[in-house]
Amino acid sequence: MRIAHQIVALCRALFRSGRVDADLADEMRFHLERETEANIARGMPPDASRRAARLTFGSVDAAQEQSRDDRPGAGIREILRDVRFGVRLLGKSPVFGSTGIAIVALGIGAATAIFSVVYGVMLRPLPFREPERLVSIWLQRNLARNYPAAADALDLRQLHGVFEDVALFDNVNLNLVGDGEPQRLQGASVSPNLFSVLGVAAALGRTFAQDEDQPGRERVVLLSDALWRGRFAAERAAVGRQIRLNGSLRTIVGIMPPDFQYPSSAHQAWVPLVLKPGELTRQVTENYLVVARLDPHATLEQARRAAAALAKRLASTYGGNAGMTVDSMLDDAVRDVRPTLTLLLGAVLFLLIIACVNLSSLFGARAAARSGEFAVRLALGASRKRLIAQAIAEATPVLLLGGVLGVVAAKWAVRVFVAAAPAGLPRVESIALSAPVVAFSLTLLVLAGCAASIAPAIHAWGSDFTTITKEGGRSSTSGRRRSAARRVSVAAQIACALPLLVGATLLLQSAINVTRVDLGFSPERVATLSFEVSRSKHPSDQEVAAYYARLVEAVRAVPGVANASLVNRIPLVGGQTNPVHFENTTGTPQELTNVDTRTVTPEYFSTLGIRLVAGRGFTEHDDTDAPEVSIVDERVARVIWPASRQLASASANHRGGVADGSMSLVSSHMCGPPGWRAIRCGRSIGAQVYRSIGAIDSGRRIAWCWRCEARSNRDRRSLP
Amino acid sequence: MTRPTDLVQGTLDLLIMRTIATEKLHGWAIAQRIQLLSNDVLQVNQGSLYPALQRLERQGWITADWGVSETNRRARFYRLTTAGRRRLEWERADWDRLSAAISLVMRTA
Repeated sequence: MRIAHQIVALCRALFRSGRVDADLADEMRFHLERETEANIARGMPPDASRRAARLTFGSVDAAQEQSRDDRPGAGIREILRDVRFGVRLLGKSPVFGSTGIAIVALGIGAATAIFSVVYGVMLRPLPFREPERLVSIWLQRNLARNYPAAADALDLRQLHGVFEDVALFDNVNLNLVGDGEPQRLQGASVSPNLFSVLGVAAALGRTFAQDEDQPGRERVVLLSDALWRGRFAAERAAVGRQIRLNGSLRTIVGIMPPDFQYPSSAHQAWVPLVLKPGELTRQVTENYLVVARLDPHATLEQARRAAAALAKRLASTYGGNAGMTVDSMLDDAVRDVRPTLTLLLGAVLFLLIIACVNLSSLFGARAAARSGEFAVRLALGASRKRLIAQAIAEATPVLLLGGVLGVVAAKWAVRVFVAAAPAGLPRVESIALSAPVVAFSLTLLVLAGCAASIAPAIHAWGSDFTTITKEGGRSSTSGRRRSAARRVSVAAQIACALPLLVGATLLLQSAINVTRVDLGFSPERVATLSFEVSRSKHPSDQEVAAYYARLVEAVRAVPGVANASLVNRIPLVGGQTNPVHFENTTGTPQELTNVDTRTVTPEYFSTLGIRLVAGRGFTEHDDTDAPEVSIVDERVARVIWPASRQLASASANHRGGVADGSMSLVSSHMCGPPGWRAIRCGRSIGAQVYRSIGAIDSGRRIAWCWRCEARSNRDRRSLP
Repeated sequence: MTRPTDLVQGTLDLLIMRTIATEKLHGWAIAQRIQLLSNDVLQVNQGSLYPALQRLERQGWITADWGVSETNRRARFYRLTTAGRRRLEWERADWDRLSAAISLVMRTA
């Protein structure tokens, strides 16, 4: 009640101040008249009565003024008056104003844009229940992180009191067939408890039941909101319907909420992970991503210790030397980009400091020009506090306009950045101009405000009427002081600009270097497309190999195709490290565990323009009947047989070497699991390639095609 | 003629509230009534009366309406609100305590 009353009074004082003043004047006039009448009634002559009334009352103006100062919002009115004055000053000196606004807009805009990225990627909590309790777990071999096996995850699950639950998953490609165009989905094969670990429920239907990882019960699937809307027209009845994925029927049991983007925003479907029997006994090791929810009472440190102890136990039981790392899920997700983003944030803060120093000298110069005015006002009785308040208020219009411009520019910059975000930047979808970002910008704006008003405030504080009037504002001492301040501000600007300049030069240099990196293959005029092989149509490895041969022939026959070949994974994409055993080696065992392997058809090297350093390439005769042969790259050769240049004699299993940047081993048996295939062809013949593949396989399983060149440029950009 | 006593800081509010506790009064009448009731001992500084009235009004203890004065002119009449009445009781108790304490000291010291 009291508060409501005071708000009403404040509003009246602020917006109806003229009316309030008029009322008061009216009231006091009545008082004087009444007093005069009373005096006349006491027998005084009219003139004397009026004078006496005035005398008893005192100053009407003083009473009016005192009541005005007493009124709520007096400070606000004063500030508004100063701001109005500031706007008028701005109008009088548009160059000054636009310079100030530009400085503020640039500083705030750049800082806001970069902070949006930093906040969205590094700081914003993951969109899960109690995200601080979520951790990612990896195997650690020396400095390399490896994927844990399913048995590791199940052993971790036994650490009660440390982990509440442990989930594991793997990415899978799912071919969706029926009801329209065939579609290749980015999916994940997940342990049913993944959703409870993350603390996410289905938007429609349900997530997986705990026993749906048992063979026979696994014929279920969860769809992303985007897929549901795109393919199933957001029908609620889609839940319960059966769809054909990778050749088997699965029932849609639920639709995930739109903001559920895990493991990535590209994921469209989730199926239960069914472990092979050998995986639990460690006879078969598949790679998984493992996430866990910490027990409410456990700390990250405890979890690390427990996982390390478990790793030690496992190592002593099964051999090996792998440790286990436990990191918060957020840290894990942004591990690779953290240094870059921190650097970027640092750079932008330097830029902001420069902007503030600039702003400070700009306003300082104007204050110096107005020191006479300050002195006169001080002499007329204005308080120094009042002058400083005015300095702040005058800077406000510049700051507000610049701030608004900056935030608008940042919004635009963020949109451009998100659209062109480098490949491999995690959590791009959470980059936005969110409330914390705006709060950050406001804080910066206050900082800039302090920078802008500090110089005028110092001037106001140091103003002295006598000095100013005697020496015309150019007294030698204050002149010296001012030039010293100027020198300091110039030095500060150079100090801040230098690291920026050096950083930018280095960045440019590395950007140039990256484009010059020898990829080991020539991506020009190479197109790639991927497809799946139906194992139900081609059950044996021989049949798959024959199918591949037919397909390559068909594509090669398309006019304009120079060469075509198959590979299970195109260059620069992903990594697949298989344990490789080399004979007669000198390298340490650790060096041999992380060898990237690919399976190719003979023409792969010529298709991608990969140079053979020694030995021979694969031929048509290196088929399933021939002895297994492999090609290693120079780096493997150097590490494993450093003494020998004669690769052919080193091991019967290794027949050649290729120039390539990464440790890789290429083998010739192209009949394994389906995956990526590379085809060298001209640019405009994709449709024809599709048709010719379709001719031999009814065209259903081709997924997408893109130019390798464009892709490798994109990947180059994301290289550190 | 005795010199009018300066009002103790803060007592003006109390006096104003007391005078309008029983009936609506305009500013001039309030000043007159205080002077009259105190046998001309207390003379309200009329200049500070209006800021005080505005302050009390803002705090919600008194409220005012425009009306017609005894001389048939437009005047602003003040009266106590319910909150003001409670406040007056509180201030009066406070005042009683204070003055009793002062007289006690004066008598015994």
